[in-house]
Amino acid sequence: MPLVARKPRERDAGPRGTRQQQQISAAAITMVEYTEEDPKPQLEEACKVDCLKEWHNYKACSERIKSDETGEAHCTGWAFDYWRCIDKCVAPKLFARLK
Amino acid sequence: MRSSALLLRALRGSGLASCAAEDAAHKVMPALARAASTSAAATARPAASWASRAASAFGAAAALAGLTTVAAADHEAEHGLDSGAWPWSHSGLLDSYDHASIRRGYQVYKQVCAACHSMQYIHFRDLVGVAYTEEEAKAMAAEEEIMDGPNDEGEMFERPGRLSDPLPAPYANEQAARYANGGAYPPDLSLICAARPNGTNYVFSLLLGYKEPPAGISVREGLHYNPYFPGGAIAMPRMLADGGVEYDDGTPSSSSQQSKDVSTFLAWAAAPEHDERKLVGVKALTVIGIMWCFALYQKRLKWAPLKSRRVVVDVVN
Ligand code: HEC
Repeated sequence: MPLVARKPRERDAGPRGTRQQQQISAAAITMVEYTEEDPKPQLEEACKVDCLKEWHNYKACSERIKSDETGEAHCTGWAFDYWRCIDKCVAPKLFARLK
Repeated sequence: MRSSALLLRALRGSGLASCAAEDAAHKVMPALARAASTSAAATARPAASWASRAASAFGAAAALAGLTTVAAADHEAEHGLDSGAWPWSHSGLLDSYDHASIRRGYQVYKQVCAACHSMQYIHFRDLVGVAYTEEEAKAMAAEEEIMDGPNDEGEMFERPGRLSDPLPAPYANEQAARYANGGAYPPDLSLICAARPNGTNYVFSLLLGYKEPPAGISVREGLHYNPYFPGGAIAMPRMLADGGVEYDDGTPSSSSQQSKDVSTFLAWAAAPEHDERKLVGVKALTVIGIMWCFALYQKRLKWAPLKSRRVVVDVVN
C-alpha cells in the first residue's frame, strides 16, 4: 500500500474549524493582551456563528411583524433567545481576557 | 403549571380568591399573557414551549375569569433578560474576593457612579484592610468636605472627612436625586447586589447591556433600552466607556474591565463578610470533622462491652 499523506477529511473540521485552526486560536487565547479596547464586542461578534438559528428566528419575526397594524407586535422574545445564546457563548471566554 | 392553573380557576370560580390564588396568578400570568398578547400581535411563537402550549389551552378560561387586564400588561421583558452566570473568581466554594479588583471597583464607583449613586452603608474605614491601607483611606477621606455640626454656636460647618464618615452622597435627598435624573431615583448601591436576583451578574450585565431595541419596541425620550433591566427601559444611560477610568494599578480600563471591577466591589459592599464566612466555614467543618471522629470512637468504646456481651440464661433447676 503506497504511503501517501491522508487527505484531511470532512469530519476533521469540527464546527470550530480544523484541529490546526483550533490550536492557533487556543494559542491566541493563552497570549492574553490586556488592552483598553473592550474584548466583549469582539467575542460577541465571534459567537454569532454559534447562534445563527436564534438570529434567523429573530429576523423572521421582524419580517413577520412588518405587516402588523396594531402597533403591539414586537420580537422581544426572539431577541432574548438570541442574546441569551450570545451571553452563554461569551461568558466562559470574556473573563480570561480581563484582569 | 397545568394543575396550578386549574386550581386557580377553581378558586376563582368558587369565590375563594385568596393569597394562594394571587400567588398562583402571578406564576400563571406570564404564560397566559404571552399567548394572549403575542397571538393577537402575530408574533406568537410556534407552540414549541410548554408555556405557550399550556397558555393557549387556558387562554380562553383566563379571559373569562377576567384576568386579561393584568395579563395584557405582561411581556417577555417583564423580568428582564437573565443575567447568566459569569465566572467570578470568588464564586467557588473556597474562593475569596479578588481584592485588587475591589480596589479598582472602588475607583470606578468613585470616578463614575458616585456622580449619581450614594453608598450610605459603606464608610471609609470599611475599605481599610480590604482594598486600601489605613493611611490611604485616611487621605481619601480627608479629601472630602463633610458637612457637620451644629457647633457651640449652633452653626453647621464643613470639615475634612474622617475614616468614620460614610462615602459622600451626591444628592441631599431623594427629591433632589429624582429632580436631577428626570424623575428616576438612582438607588443607593451599598446593598444592590443583595437587593436584585443574581445581583452581581445582574449589575455586570446591566452596565454593559445597552443595545438597540428589538423590532417593534421603542423607548420613550429620556429612557434607554437595556434588556437586563425589568421592563427594558432604564433611566440610567450607558455610563461605562473604554478608557473612561484611571486605575492606580495601571490596568487598561476597557468597559468590561470596569464593569467586572465595579460589580466585584458592589458584591463586596453587599456581603463584606463573604471571605470570613467561607474561612469560618472551613474551620468549623474541620473541627466538626475531628470531633466527629472522637465521638465515633467514644461511642464504639462505650458500646463495645455491651454489644459484645453474651447473655446466657442459665436456668439452674
Ligand atoms: C447619570 C447618573 C448615573 C450614573 C453616573 C450612574 N447611574 Fe446607575 N442609575 C441612575 C438612575 C437614574 C437609575 C434609576 C434607573 C431607573 O429606575 O430607570 C440608576 C439605576 C442603577 C441601578 C439599579 C437598576 C435596578 O435594577 O433598579 C444600578 C445597579 C446602577 N444604577 C448601577 C450603576 C453603576 C454601577 C454605576 C457606575 C458605573 C452607575 N449606576 C452610574 C443614574 C446613574
